[in-house]
Amino acid sequence: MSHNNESKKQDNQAERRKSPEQEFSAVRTLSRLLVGGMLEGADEVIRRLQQWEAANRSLAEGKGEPVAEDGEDKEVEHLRYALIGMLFESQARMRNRVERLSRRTNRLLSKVLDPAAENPYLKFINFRVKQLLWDEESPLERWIEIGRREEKRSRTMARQAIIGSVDEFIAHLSHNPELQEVVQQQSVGLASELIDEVRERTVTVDTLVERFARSFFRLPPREELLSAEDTIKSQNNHHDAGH
Amino acid sequence: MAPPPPILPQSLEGEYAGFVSRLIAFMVDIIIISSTIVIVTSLSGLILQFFGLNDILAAAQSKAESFGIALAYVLAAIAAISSTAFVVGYFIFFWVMTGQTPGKALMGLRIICLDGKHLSLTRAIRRYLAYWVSAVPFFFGFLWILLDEQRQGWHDEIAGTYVIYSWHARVDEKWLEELLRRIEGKS
Repeated sequence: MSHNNESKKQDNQAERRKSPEQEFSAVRTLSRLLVGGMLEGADEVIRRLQQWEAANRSLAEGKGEPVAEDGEDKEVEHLRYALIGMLFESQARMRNRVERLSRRTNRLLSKVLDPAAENPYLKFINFRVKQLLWDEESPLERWIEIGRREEKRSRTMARQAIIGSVDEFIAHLSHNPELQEVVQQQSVGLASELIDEVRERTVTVDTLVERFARSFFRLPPREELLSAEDTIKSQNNHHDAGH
Repeated sequence: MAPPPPILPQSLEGEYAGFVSRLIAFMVDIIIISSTIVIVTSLSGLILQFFGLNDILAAAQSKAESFGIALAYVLAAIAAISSTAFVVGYFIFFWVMTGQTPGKALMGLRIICLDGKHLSLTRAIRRYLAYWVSAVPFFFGFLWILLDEQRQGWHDEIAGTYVIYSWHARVDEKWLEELLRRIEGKS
């Protein structure tokens, strides 16, 4: 009995000793997926925006500035340009204001908190804040370490999820009979296009080779001769007349 | 306003087929025929080997050399006759049934008579035998297609046949001009 109890204790301890990562947790996995998805998605959006911006810039440089051709529409266009300009300028102003506000807030807080640091009751809070920010064993360092590790895992998970989903979708599509039919039709279409291309080139070479041969022997070119239809008709008429 | 439709070159459907098209069609047929003969010969050899007839022949040859030699001649004759019959049958069968061998079908060509119909059996046999007439003088009977007004070889004139394009054949004029420019540039 005591042996059983001891073995049960050992099992429980082993269970507890298992690190949190080894146990499957749907919440943790989902969090990783969401975080990874957001990070990868944001990176992709930024990358695309940069690409489009670069393409837009080169297009604008190539074409030059647009010219207003119709005088009557100028006022409407001016209004539109003004609204767009106001939007962009508002963004820039907002950014500047937020920066100024954060600087003022920092100054205000330091003005308020520095004297408060002399206060014996607030000294403890000040000490705890400094400990949180500057102490090597503070939870902040631990959070940074966990965040660094989890970001990597989250990104990997998101990438795997995307690639896996795309592969599954393609596999599902490949078993779709309608899609298979479309692919087969395309293949047949491609094959017949290839044959037509070969035939067309051969007809061209026929004309070229014959042109050279006929010019070498000083014969009239093909264009001045009867077509097949005319020849067959005339030979049939001759045949009928004979009978 | 929509752009005007492109002006396509004139269709050559029903017009006499040129030398190069006919040559390629013939080469395709030769490839088909040769491949078939090789496959059938290999299969026959495997079948003989399976039933041990090769060993029986070898044993008979070792016992009576003259018998072995005669047997070898007989087998070679059978093989030669079979191959020839296959080649003759290939061309005549397709000419009579469809007016196109597989090679000609691939290149979009068709053989017709004076009245525009398919070949009869006698005409097809005549055309095939006339192949030798075209081939013997260094294939000049085939090269005659380049110079003839109806693009007929000697075998066509003997059999009274024409070879025409059976599809909307069109000359790629841009490519033709480019080729001419390159050739004239080099010369």
